[in-house]
Amino acid sequence: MDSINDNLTVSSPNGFWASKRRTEKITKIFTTIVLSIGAVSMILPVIWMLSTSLKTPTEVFAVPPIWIPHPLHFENYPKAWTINNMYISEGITFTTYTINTLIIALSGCVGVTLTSSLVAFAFARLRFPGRGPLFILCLATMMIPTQVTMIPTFILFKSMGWYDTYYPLIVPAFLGGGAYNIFLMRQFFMSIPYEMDEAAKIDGCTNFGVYWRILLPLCKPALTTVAVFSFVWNWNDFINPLIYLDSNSKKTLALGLTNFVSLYGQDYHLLMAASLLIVIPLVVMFLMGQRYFIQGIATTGLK
Amino acid sequence: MTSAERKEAISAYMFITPFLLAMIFITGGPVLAAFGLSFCKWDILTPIQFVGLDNYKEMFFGDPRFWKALYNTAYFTFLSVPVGMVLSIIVAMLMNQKVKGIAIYRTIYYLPSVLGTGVAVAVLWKWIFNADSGLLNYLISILTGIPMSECPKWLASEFWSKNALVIMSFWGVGGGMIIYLAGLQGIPTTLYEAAEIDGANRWQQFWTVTLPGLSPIIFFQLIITLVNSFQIFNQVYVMTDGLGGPADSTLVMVLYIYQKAFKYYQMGYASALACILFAVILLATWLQFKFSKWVYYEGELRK
Amino acid sequence: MKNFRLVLVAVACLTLVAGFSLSGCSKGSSKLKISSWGSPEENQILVDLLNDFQKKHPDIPVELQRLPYNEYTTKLLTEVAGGLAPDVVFTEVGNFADLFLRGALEPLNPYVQADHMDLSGYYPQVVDRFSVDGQIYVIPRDTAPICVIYYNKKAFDEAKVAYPTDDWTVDDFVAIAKKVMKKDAAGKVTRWGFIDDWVMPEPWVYDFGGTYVDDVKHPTKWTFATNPHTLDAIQFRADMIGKYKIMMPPSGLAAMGGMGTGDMFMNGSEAMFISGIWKTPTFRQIKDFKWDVVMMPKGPNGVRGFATGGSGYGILKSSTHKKEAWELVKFISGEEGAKKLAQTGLAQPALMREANTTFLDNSDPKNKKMLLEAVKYVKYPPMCKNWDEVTHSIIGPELDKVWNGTETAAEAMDKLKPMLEKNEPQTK
Repeated sequence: MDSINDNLTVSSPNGFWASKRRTEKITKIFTTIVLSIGAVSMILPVIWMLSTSLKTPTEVFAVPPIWIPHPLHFENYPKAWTINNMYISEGITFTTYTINTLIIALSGCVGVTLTSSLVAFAFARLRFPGRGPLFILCLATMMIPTQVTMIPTFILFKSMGWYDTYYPLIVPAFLGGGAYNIFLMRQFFMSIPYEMDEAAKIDGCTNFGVYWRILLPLCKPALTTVAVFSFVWNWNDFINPLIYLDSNSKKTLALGLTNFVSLYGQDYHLLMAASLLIVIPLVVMFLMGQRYFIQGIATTGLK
Repeated sequence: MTSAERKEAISAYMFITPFLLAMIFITGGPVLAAFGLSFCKWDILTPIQFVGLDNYKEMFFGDPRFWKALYNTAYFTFLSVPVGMVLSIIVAMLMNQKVKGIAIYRTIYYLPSVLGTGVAVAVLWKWIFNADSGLLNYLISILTGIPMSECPKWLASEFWSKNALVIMSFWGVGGGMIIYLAGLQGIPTTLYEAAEIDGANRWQQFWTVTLPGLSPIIFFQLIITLVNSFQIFNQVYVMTDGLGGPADSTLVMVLYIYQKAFKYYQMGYASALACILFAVILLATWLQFKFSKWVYYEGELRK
Repeated sequence: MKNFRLVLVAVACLTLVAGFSLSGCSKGSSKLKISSWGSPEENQILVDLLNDFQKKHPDIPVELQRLPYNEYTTKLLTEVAGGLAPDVVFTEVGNFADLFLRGALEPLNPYVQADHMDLSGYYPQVVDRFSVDGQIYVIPRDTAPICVIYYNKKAFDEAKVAYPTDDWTVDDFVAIAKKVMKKDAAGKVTRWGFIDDWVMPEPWVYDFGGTYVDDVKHPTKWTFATNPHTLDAIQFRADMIGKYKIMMPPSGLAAMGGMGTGDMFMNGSEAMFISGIWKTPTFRQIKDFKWDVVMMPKGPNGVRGFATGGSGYGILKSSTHKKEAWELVKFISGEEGAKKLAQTGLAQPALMREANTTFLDNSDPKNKKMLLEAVKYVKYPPMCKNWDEVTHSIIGPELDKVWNGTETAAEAMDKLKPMLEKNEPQTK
């Protein structure tokens, strides 16, 4: 798309298009327009969720759709938040679930960020016998549907005494965090010039020094990506907490959400309200943290 | 092996210790178990019976649904992966600019990925794709003038249902966008400056600097989306209530595996299906690696 | 190197500590575990019942595991495989067969006899469903014939059509459904005559005198594709969509699983819809909404038959606390639970006394008393291991084409015949 502007820059003899600043301005306007169109399509579903969360049951599937319900039923939100009151005698509310989810998501996040880069560094930068086969093995673990490994894994964790604990949800994150993250970090490491390592090694850096002092700082955007993805994944994960957790007091938000759903009918307005409430922390976190994605080499002053 | 090589190898093994531990203590056993189960008949409630190659024989010679599922999976993959890849690169390029409110845009584009695939999102998408009163057909009829009754029947049509899943997958470009954004930061600005001095316009810069610099990440994204598309499950599960309808038109491999394992009590057969799927994905990945000469690694390990 | 080793050691220690030092923390579950699914209201009933049970039996600690319906089997099977199965399971007529045929359920006759428990208070049809060869395996909680046609009184008043009565026929039904439909100026339907709660051929199959198998208790072959009444029923459901145009086509159903049909009933976009009585609590919440229920119309062959759900409590054979488990089952399927269930309107208790009294209170829907009659005609799914697979993976996909109008019922049946012959009902 930029090419159009640039061609115009070249072909226009003088005046308006020749100015580089104008070109940039037009590029920006163009970008904004394209992004806005995309953004509308991205956010429409969420707006419908928002609108549904403020409706009464009869309005939910009205035809034509009601976008702005009258009146707005804000009371759906506190109602959705307290739907778990049936367990209140055990002291369990959505707040309990939120804390539990935070514990799991944060631990997972820390574990993945720490260990995936360690493993990836070796695959990207070090020579050792079995590197190729081991890397293939690593990737291969992604290719087996969890549906068939779930029961054997469950039996394994149970025999370790991990049933109804957070270990099945957290420990794997500390053991490399899975092929996805290892592979991602490896690719990032491999796009960094090898000369960086050599220079550092000449200065007396060990392998760990190279990893810790040279490559990790250069990979901040990648680390942020890994951290965010793992946080979001853990936050929304449903099947693992369902399988491994038993006590109500240990359950997570994703499990709590199913309390709205039954065989017989669903309170869609409350379901939407609760689903949105649950996503808010993620959105806020992302909104604040997104600048780290574009904070790489530019700020660390490479070259 | 020289002593320096040995030293490097030892330190490499230390780096990948977390991964090795995961393989030995967590992933390895269950994967082998699943492989073993593929030669057995097991309904989970009664003891395991060894049946040799029966499951595989049945699959290849007596199970039309297996072929159907394989076809549906391939259809989805080959349609969604290329388009999704291109879309997310474009979005990332646009997002990499300094436009007002870019933080908001980034968040909005990532929003659908944050929402996950829970019940609320299922309700949402079913409504969007509802042929008679859904949002998508409503927009189509406004934009093109085609009456809603002649718009695609989406989830109710044997032909359109798979395409609906493909379209739905584009709402996930936010994830790819983030990875590319992170990748773009790794491309040294000096390269752009050099290209500019050589008189390259922005379009040429994109082809000569951006794409090669981003190629390790593009490669990663290609492998990952391929692996994930072959294993598409959650979206189909929630959109078709676990059935893969209408008329099996959205029955994908992992959904079939899930049905066999947990709805029809045929864990052995499910494992056999999973092994075949594994082989297919492995083959596809191997082909990608074989033809990955186009990937340019700044920091490739010298032999 | 020092730094590196430190971190590695730290990471390794963390995982090792996580992994092994706490393996002793696994609680040897001495509690009696009961697994269930259900709506919040339904769950509340169970929670209250369990609290009462605890007061009566403080020596038997009970733990309730509430699961989402869709993942109930997944979790249950995983637990069974891991040796952590619950003692008491909530089960409905369909998965009762799945569990029973794989020998997972404890026969309850010895317990019933030892306690001199009187089962004659329960509907005999329901007791019979949960019994095989004279041995009972599940104590029923409720029965749920899917013969409940909910109708929106406002729609009938607007169309000046008299409310339907339980003795109506399929022909009456079609005529009435046509009358209560509403279209806008452009000819677009704004109110449909009829919708079923999800894609449900079964009620019509039984209503028309059709069958799925030769013998429900001991099936040996599928009769679905060969029984002419079944064919008529399938064609009738397709005709409601394509010929009479009284039923919303599959494209309009918000989803293929019937999502939102209840909501559409409440907002007036459909005049009638069929389901079980379990929609009642939801509709009761809506103010200014006049509705009632009527029995499914009589089929053209003059017989009645209602596809039926229903649930109860059983004990898994693997339980190590069977005696305590029995105490619990006895308690929660007793009168108190039935009374509470009846009050919510969610279900028709399997205990006849409660069904005849509490259930028939003055609350909506007024005509729910028809269920006392309906229970005489209940039809249950066949007792075979592959019922789910055959209905969902063989019959279902073929019928999808009939609903979409790309195939007639007769064509579908011809295609189904060889497929059903190949997949005989599995009882062993």
